[in-house]
Amino acid sequence: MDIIVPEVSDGVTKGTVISVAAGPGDTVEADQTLLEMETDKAVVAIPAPVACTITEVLVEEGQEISVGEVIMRAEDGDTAERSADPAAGTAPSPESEPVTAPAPAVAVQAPAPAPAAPAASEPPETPVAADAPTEVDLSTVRTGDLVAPAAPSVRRLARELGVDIYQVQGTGPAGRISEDDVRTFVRETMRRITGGGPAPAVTGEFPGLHAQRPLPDFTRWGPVHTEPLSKVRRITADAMGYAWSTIPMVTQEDAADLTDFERYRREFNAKAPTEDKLTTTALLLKVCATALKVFPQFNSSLDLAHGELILKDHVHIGVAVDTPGGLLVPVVRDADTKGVAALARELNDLADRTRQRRISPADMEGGTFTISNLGGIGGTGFTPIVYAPQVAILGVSRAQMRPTWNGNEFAPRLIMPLSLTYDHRVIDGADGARFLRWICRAVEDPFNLVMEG
Amino acid sequence: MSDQTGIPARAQLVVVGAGPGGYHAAFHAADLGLEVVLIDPAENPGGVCLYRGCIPSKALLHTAKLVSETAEAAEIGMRFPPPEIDVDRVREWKNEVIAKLTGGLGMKAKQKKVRHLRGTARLTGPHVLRFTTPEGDSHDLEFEQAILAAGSRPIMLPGFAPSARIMNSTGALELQDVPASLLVVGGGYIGLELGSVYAALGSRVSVVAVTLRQLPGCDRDLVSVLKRRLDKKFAAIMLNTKVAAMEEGPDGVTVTFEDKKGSRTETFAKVLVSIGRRPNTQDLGLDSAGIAVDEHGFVVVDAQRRTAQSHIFAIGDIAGQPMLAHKAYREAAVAADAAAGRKSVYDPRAIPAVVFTDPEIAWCGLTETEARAAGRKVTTAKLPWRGNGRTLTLGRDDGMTKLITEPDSGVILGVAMAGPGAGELIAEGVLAMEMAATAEDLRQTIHPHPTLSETVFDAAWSLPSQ
Repeated sequence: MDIIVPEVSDGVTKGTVISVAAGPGDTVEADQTLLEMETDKAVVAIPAPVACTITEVLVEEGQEISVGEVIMRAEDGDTAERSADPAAGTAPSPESEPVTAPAPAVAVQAPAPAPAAPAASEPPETPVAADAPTEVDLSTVRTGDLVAPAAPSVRRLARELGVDIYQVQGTGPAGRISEDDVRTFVRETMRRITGGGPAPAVTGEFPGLHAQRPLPDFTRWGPVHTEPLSKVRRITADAMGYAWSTIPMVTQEDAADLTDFERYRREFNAKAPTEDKLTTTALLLKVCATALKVFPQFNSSLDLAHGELILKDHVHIGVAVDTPGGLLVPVVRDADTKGVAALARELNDLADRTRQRRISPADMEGGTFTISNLGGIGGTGFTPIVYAPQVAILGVSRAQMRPTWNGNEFAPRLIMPLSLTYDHRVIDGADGARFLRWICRAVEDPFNLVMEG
Repeated sequence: MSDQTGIPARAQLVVVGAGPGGYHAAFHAADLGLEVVLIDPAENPGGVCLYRGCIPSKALLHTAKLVSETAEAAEIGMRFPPPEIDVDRVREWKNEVIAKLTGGLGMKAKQKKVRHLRGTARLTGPHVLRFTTPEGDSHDLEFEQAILAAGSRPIMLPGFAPSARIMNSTGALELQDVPASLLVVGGGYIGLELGSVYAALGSRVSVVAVTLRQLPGCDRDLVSVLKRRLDKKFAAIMLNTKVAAMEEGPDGVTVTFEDKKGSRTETFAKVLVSIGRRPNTQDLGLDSAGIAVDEHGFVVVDAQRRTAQSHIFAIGDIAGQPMLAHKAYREAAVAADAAAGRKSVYDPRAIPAVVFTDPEIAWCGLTETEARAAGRKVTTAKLPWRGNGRTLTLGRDDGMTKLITEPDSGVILGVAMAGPGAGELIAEGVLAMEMAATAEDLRQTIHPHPTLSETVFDAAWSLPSQ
């Protein structure tokens, strides 16, 4: 007869064999454990459906198996399928396969007070939420021998630690659960989540959100070395992970004709002293500040806890600055009240001080919108990540001379690609498109700024 | 004692009912820092248990035990003349015991700054109740959280109200007199306990029950240990028999019995109706707060004893079987903990039940009857007490200890015993079950010699070792 993987619990269709407890020639009794399978919910024992003699083992440790798959062949008995006891489960165990995640414009964002960079490795994936500690069940009524075989004091300890005692494997006689078993369970769970490293930074609002799946042993494939994460990198990873996993984001693409502004800029800069040099970013500061007054929902924060949208009557725009120590985002205050020349001067000064690390954390706080201009480096487009609790960010790529149809002929025009990422919970797609179009029109013809801003 | 001046309009936690569930919930919540108002009609906390249940019945059963022990002492060479029973003094002493205990609880309420209001309460909304004083004055009381512990009351036969001759357990415990003859209707523990009291005090006691056996729910072998003695003490035990009619006359109550042989009548000086208890959930205003009761009238609660309104808890007799003080006491701790934000749950692995007859019967966990009904395989050890030294030195030879275990693991699933002092001995079984002990744990535990507790030890040794 064939022994198959039974249905172990709802929604579990496959798992990984972690130990094989019977081999060819072994005589097993009904319900005797044949192998243990680790699913994304628990370790479950697969029992022999009936008393039988194993003739062949078709799986090995580490192999992935699915419900219904034949794992062993045996003699005697029938093939009646039986369900394994789900209560045999132990620790929740996320699969150990690392996930490569898109690592786009994370680089442009830098939470205070220091460097940020692309989350090139694994940003935490939301599936960890399934394994994250959930609230202990305080409502299901259980009495008699449906209650976990543990002393009342041990059951209480488990509740206080937030451990579901029904997941804990007791090591005592007849599966009795000791205090040590509960503590071991907590330790094992933490180890699985953190991969043995220190506990991940916990944001408070979403504890365990940024938990990491176990990493493989990379030395199996070659030498490695490690360097400690700076505190700032941890904060950055936390902030990016939080934004990435909680905000449904949309990136809207558009392009602005920069030709006229570029001509003006060159003429202006030819006469201006270094500290007053006009940059595209300075113009975008003015344009965005004005756009934020026209479209106030882009200058807001979402407060789900109180069911409110917090609209800011001030406009402070963060500008991502590339520094040797990483990317920082100093904030230009009250950008809506300043002229382009003043903004240019302030931005030049701020960027200089940022590169020299002469800014304080306060200079990087309170932004209501962010501009990330990677045009100086290159690229044709990217998708920035909203810097929570802001709701929108503008990404700027390199402007390039492109043949543009002007109605009669192709003319060479300097075209600047713009990417607007917004929090789709707050901003509708049509408004996103309108906002970015407004910015493009203002860049192309600053007269629009004067008329509408 | 309660203080009826300046009745508060608001309470952080209000506890309705001051039986063992209510007063323990109130005291524990106060210990945890909550501001507690406790509402109960009596002068001091105590509830049915102290005023009309556990405590007075145990006091009276003690007198019954003295009567039978002095009578049986002749067997071992100690002859006492038959006792002269001063019923007034017995009643007075019983009332003194009650006063001492309830007075102590009243003091404790004061010490713990629990505000005790005398009166009744009825919910009028999810956060407000109507409090009515014994004088009939009503006040609205707003509360943040509430623990309902309104208890239960005896069921009467349909068409009858308690009277001087037809009593419920409350009337019987008042011990107005010792009637020449008493009929106990119902084969449960309350009837057997009170029947034993009246029999010892000199009444001719008969028991009638519609069930096939006494103490339904308790294993037959345990009941038979008790029955051997009760057969001698009671004039008649009529099982599978129905009370078809009762007529109260000047000389007594004429009762018509019906069984499969036909019907007959007999007159008794008094009748005690003890056919069960009903939760006091009708007058709590549960509807106005949106709280559901099940088909038996019990409030539906979760593991923290929260009702459908999660800030309102229900504990004790109104929250389901078994209607026992110690079960309410545990629920009280859970509900008070939960009200104070702690993560307690009510998850007993075993709840003991004790029948305080002579011999006593006590059990916890799974019974053999239940195991059989569920088709569950168990390994059982039964140890008669006649081989136990302590039993014989007490001048007794009746008693039995039984362990019910899981066949493979030896995990204790149930403990039961019949014999003098069984009620005290069962605590070991409850602890063993809460700790998920195995028979091996009991075998490895030194039990004092010579005691009745050795019967537990010996029963464990009579099981196959794993």
